[in-house]
Amino acid sequence: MSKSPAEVGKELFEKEEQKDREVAKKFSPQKILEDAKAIRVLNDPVLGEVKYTVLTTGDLLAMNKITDEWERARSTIFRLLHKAYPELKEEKDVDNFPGHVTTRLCELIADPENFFQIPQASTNGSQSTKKRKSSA
Amino acid sequence: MVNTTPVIGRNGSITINGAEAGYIKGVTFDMDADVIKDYKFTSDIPAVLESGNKSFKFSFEKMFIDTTYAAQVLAGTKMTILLGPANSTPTGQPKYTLTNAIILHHGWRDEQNGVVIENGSGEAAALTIGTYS
Repeated sequence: MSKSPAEVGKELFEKEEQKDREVAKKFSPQKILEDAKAIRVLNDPVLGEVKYTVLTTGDLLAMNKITDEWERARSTIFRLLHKAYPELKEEKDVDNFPGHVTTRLCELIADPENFFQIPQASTNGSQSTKKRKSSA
Repeated sequence: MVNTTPVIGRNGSITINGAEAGYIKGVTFDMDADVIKDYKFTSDIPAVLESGNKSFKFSFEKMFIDTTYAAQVLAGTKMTILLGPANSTPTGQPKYTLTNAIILHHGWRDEQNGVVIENGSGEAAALTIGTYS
């Protein structure tokens, strides 16, 4: 006997909600580690498409040891970009960036909405300006 | 004594021309009424204070519409939305009926047997509060 439209809809929503609950409640270190390696994209009107990866705890610990403000900024830029751009092999490579590029990157870093936004649980899809590109 | 069975569910069925067409979940009402108010001389309190023209808006979390009726609903066909209690033997329980309801704001996605509209809103010609018999 076929189900009525109301029964079909009710079952569909119950299944979706069950799935949402399962996804929301699972803490998975494996998924977190994979997510940390994922290359993300920031669309900036000045620099264009900037690919980056999130800073890890190791990055933060290393950067915390740097006392000079400019060296820490350089380290931050390098750590954000080097996994997405293999041609950046060491922090000193950032020194060859034109000044206006580094300045713009520093401006982007200063705004927590750009590289450091904490992902929010949302049912409305991803943000328009930041999208996951691929897994590294 | 605490009654753990909700008296009024926020879920309900949708019918079009008497035929069951879908399911709706998370419905909230937002009724507006114009104020009819007038004063007479020597008094600062209203001599007339009445509820005027009414509109019955509603919003919902999710609505499922069977494939047969999907195009009609998305095009603005009027529906009847029946909201009742969660239990299966509702005799004597309150029954909310939105008649000639239309969807005003929606995005939708296709499912195997129909379409799902999420976070939508609409307006009905009337809201009737009755009792299941």
